[in-house]
Amino acid sequence: MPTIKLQSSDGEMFEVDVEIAKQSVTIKTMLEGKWYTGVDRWVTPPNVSSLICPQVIQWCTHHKDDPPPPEDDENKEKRTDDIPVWDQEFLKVDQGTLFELILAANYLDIKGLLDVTCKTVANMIKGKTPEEIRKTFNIKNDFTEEEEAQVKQVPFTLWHKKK
Amino acid sequence: MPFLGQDWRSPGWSWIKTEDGWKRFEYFNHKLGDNINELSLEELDNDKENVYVGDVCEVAAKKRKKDFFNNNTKSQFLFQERWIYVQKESTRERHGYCTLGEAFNRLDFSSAIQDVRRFNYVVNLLQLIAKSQLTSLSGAAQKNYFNVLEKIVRKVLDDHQNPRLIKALLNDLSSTLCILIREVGKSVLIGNINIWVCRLETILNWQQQLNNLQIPKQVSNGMTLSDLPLHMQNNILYKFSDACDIINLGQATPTLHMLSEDRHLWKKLCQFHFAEKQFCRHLILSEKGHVDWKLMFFTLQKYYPQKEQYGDTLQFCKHCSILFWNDSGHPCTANDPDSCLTPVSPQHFIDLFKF
Repeated sequence: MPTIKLQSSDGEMFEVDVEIAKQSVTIKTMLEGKWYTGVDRWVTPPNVSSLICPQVIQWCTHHKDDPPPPEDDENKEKRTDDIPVWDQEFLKVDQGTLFELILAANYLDIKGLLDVTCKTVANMIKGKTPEEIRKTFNIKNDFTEEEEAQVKQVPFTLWHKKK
Repeated sequence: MPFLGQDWRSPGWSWIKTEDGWKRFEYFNHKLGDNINELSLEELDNDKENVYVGDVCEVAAKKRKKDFFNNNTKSQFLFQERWIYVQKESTRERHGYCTLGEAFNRLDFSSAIQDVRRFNYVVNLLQLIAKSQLTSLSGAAQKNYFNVLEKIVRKVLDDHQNPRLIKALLNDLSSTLCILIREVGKSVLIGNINIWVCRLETILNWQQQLNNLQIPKQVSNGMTLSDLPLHMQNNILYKFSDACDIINLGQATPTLHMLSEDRHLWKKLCQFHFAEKQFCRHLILSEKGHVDWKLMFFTLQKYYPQKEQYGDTLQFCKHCSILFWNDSGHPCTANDPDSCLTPVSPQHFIDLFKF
């Protein structure tokens, strides 16, 4: 089974099956590139640390037999409740890890992983007030007082239902 | 000769009281579990004078086995049919007790709320019941309703998922209760008025807890939402189907505010909820001549209902007129069970029980 090595941003090497690694469109493109002929092959995805790399590999290994995701760029579906159970358990991690996984999935172009991680974050935001959202993600309130007053002016007349 | 069948003349079941109400249970000996079918009737039938015919035999055999193994009971399990027959039209004959309250009892919403695909569905259902059907619930159904409600509130207080949905439900519930309690004597309210006052107090208490949601402080110094690149934050905005979520997220940081004002985002939201025909009737143009999608969304939602979307809903079998969850199934007598199924929206569920 041909393998490929992934080098994390802090220099550690991880070995993974080529077939599993190909779920990353970035890696797949590199492997199919003409200039990539080395026997001892390795790839350095940018900004993927040695803590995140094995997690990404774990996700890809579990999903190696999944059908390729549909070419749906238009995002017609707005579902966030269809995360598979295994992925839900896999993503029960601290927020720092969750966001790093989003970044890694983005750089490596792994649509499935990007999808479930973004849905997980969306679920953490749904139904909360702005203050609750800031508390959840430990975000500083960057608005000045005037800006905040202006932004909070949601025209309530717009919300009234026509009886 | 006694007739043994599954109607009112049958021997009946044993019942056990649980926190979710009375549940039926059967004795089950798991050592002999697989061998039960191999035991013949002759062995159990001590009274050779009785003669049974046809499939009545099977029911008789079940009863005999139950009695036979009574003394060998090693364990018990709770048995409950998780479907309910729905009356098609108003007739004198009844195939079972099938009111809204009974459906509520039998369809096991307690475990449904633990399933992320069904959570929104159950909460919306409770909300519709709160608005108009509270007075039609029996005493047991009321207890069950508030039981499920308590589980939901505990869950949200614990995992902080979608508090707005529950707050809306509790709002509707408390308004309805206030009106009903005030008009006691004029409207039909099953149960002692003090129980209802007590429930109202509990609801007010829950509302207070939800308004002061204790979100644990994030200790890690790792990445957070605002550290993500712009197009990732945008990606998350596109996942929302509720305009409130977009507005609220937009009020969290200036960057998110800018992203939440994006025309294309609101265009997608309009296209998700409403049809093209509806756009044409309410077209709103900005000064530059572009379509003002955000304003259009708010205008359209005044006139037309938004799209309801659920992960998993109750199913209705048109052939048997039975309501059930997908994974519990029901005793279907149709030739092609799958063709008779329709998903049931919360409003449809309420309508099924109005004669």
